[in-house]
Amino acid sequence: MEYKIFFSRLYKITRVIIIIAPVLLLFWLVQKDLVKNGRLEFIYDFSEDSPTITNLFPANRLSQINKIVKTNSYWQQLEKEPVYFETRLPQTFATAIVEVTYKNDTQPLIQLGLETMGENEWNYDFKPLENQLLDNLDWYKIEGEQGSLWQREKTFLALDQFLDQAQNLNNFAAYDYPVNRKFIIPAYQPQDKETVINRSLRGEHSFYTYIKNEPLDFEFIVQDVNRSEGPDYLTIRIYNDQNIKIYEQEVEDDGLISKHDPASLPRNIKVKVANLAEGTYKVILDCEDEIFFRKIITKQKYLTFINKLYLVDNPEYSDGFVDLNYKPTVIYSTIPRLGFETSHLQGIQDIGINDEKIQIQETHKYYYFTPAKIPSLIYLPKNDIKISGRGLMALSQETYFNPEIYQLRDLTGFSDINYLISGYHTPELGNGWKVNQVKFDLAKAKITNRKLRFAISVPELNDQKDVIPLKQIKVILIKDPLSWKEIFYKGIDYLKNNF
Amino acid sequence: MFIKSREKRREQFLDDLGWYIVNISKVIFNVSFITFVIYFIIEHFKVGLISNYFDLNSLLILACLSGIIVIFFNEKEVYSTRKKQQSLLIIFILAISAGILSYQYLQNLKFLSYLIAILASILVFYSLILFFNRTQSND
Repeated sequence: MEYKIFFSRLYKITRVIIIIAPVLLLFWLVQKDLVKNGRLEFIYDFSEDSPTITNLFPANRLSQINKIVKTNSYWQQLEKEPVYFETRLPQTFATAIVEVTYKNDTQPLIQLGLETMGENEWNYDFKPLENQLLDNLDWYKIEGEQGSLWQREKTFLALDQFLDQAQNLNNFAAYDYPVNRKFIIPAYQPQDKETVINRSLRGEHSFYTYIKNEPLDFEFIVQDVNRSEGPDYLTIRIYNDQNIKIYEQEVEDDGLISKHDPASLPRNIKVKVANLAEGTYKVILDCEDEIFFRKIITKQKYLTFINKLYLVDNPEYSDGFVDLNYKPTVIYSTIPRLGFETSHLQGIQDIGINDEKIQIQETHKYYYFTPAKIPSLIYLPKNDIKISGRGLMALSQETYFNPEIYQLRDLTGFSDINYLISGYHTPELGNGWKVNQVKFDLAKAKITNRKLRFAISVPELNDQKDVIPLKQIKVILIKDPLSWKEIFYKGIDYLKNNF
Repeated sequence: MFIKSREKRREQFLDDLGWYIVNISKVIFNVSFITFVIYFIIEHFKVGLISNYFDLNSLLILACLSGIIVIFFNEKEVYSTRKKQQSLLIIFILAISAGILSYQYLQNLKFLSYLIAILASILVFYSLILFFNRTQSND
């Protein structure tokens, strides 16, 4: 009888506990989702699907997930790039820190990108996860919580000391570090002559120019080679140093759209914008490879090409153009890692880079080269070469300037620079795996279905038979902590907005 | 005499423990199933609120395990009026939930989404009532 009473009481108590438990659990889940302490951590270690971080995709760029039996850990390797993953965003966060555990010996650069809002469909804010060129920079290095400082001569003992004095310094550069300073050339005077670029360029290009008390004045002589079907348009866009579009011109097709049509006659496209404030302007010539820029005439003193130059004064194009200038081209470059590619047999050649040489032996293959010295002079005996990299190039030293010095995308020529500040840290090594973190400001992040999307990019991976094994991805989301009062008002706002 | 009494006590203990386990399993089954439905709806409206930190499947596993215990060890009982009312309430909640979910998924159909949601609710309600009545008549 006493058992009956005991179990009856126990049943009543247990029933209450079981009924209350889901309510308490829900309360706990809601307060966890509100991230009261302002910090939330998600981990994906490849052992099983994670509800908060998706598997990497697309699958055809990745190996299968492998298991290390000894340590009961898992890894997957990147075989092509870029690959993506998404993470859930329960609340509005200010910062995301992404930590990746991976292996890499040969790839000079691994980047992590956050999808951001922008004009294009594919907008990513890329930051270095590993930059071996920077790791190998033989300047004095100090690391702090905010980042790293490289010094040509040992002047500062701590990062904070440098940051305190940075406002008074002009001889420093910044790479992946927010510096709120407008690039100005102090003693700039507009030139009273025209600069004529007499080299033929093919396809999309972009360049910087500098304006002070003068109109932006360019004339492009363009021709359509008509080697493929369809119309070929050219759009010229100009952005100021705040990355705000200030000008756009659409240039229609030449009217010849068949691939059997001859190359079009030269057309003069004029761009003149007056009353511009002093500063750097970016000009984007957006077109397909069908468009050839035969000549650029400008009143501007400086003209520095961004990331790419495709030089085409080569007999390969003699079927379309009879007046190409086959003489060799010399390029002034501050790109630390150069890529070269030709699409035609006529473009196979030996390219000189300062005192070094790189042999282009095959078509449609990228050849990468790290010059021993920056700036470098690149000598192209035959042209018909696409030169690319993260940085700037000019067709003469006189027209070169570097307006990216406070927001570098990679190493560059440091002739007047004694300090380099960066948010980048050299990856830490443990048990054969490298670990590094990248910090993103989420103010401009593109949020779709309460998710953030990240990309992992290894720019040279697709051209080499290499792989990058990944062991773990950790996403740390950070925002201001919430008080109970703020949570209450947040709840009221939520109800007001939704009901 | 003493051994006989001890054995009787042991038997009594096991009977009462069995009663306790079966009845608690009933509670666990009901609570875990209803919690699953409620959490599922919440998750649908605010993706990640539940699933970021809690695996909803664990509630289903709990419902399955407790359901098996109830099916195998429950003594047949006559449904009281109170129990019938409780069951009807649960059926009503499930039917309304089905309607809300249908509306959520088909919102872009505008007028049709309301119609389909109401039909879905009615369909679920009558299906469950039918199922409930058949179970009762079998008992």
